[in-house]
Amino acid sequence: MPEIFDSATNKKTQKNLSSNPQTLKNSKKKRRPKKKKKVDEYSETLRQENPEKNPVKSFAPKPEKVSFDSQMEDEEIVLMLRPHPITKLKAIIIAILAIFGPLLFSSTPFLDFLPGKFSLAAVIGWYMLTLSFILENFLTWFFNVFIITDERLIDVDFSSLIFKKVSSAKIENIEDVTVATGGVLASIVDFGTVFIQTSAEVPEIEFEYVPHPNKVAKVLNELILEEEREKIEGRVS
Amino acid sequence: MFLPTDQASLQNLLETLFKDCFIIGAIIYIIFAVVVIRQIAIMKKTVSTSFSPVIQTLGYIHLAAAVGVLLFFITIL
Repeated sequence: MPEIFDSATNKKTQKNLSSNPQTLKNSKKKRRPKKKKKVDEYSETLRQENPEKNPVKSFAPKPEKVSFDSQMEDEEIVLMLRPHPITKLKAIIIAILAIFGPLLFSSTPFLDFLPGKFSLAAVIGWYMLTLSFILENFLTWFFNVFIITDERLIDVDFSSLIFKKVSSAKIENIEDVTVATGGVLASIVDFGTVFIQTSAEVPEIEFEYVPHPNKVAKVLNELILEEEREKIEGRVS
Repeated sequence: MFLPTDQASLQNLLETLFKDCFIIGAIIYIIFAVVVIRQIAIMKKTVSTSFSPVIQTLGYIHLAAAVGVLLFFITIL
């Protein structure tokens, strides 16, 4: 009779297994989930990039001293993106014109109907409005970030000073990644929009006008592959 | 309604009107500066970088400038 059908042999093997402390230790080791890999270990694109120390960069791989409110303890930020600064060109031109505006109008009798002290007050008021315009544009650009971690995608939208929207999706829920670039400027300075279709509650996440969109898509694909590998190898925590 | 007829009184009335407009504008600007500080705090809480304290300081400098402008308008105009 084959050994497999022999209950006596089976019991004996089990007894041997449980009595041997080394075997028990090994089986416990096997059950424990394997340690999560660092992003450089599986992403060829990010391996070539140095950790970014500059906090105002629009393309920041492995950014240092950056965190977000819903970040988990072992969650690592692999890429932080902002819209390319060139997309703010219109606002920059308006700001420059606004700064030099009073100088241009000083030769014309633009504020002559006002007494001297009121002309000065009007110029000060003009510069305060210019300052508020610059500040608002800078803040909405600076805090309008797209974060890619080794677990999720986070889209933080501050479309104005009083409107905030944060959407996130897990890497495992990504279904499709599409890159769209268009226009002369976008081709020259290399920026575009990355559309990410997900099976999560938020059906689509858009990383608008980000620098190096192809690199971003490549990183996302590498993260998806790693997520699948984690599942297969049982490294899912 | 009483309307001044002589030029000096009319000029005085216009100056007072302009002064009030500038002061109201400066008060509204201070409210905006406070909203900016509040928003910076919320944004900083959402995404924190090494540059966030600098931005917060900028917000406070902006508020101080707004208060300075209001005081300037009150005293000079």
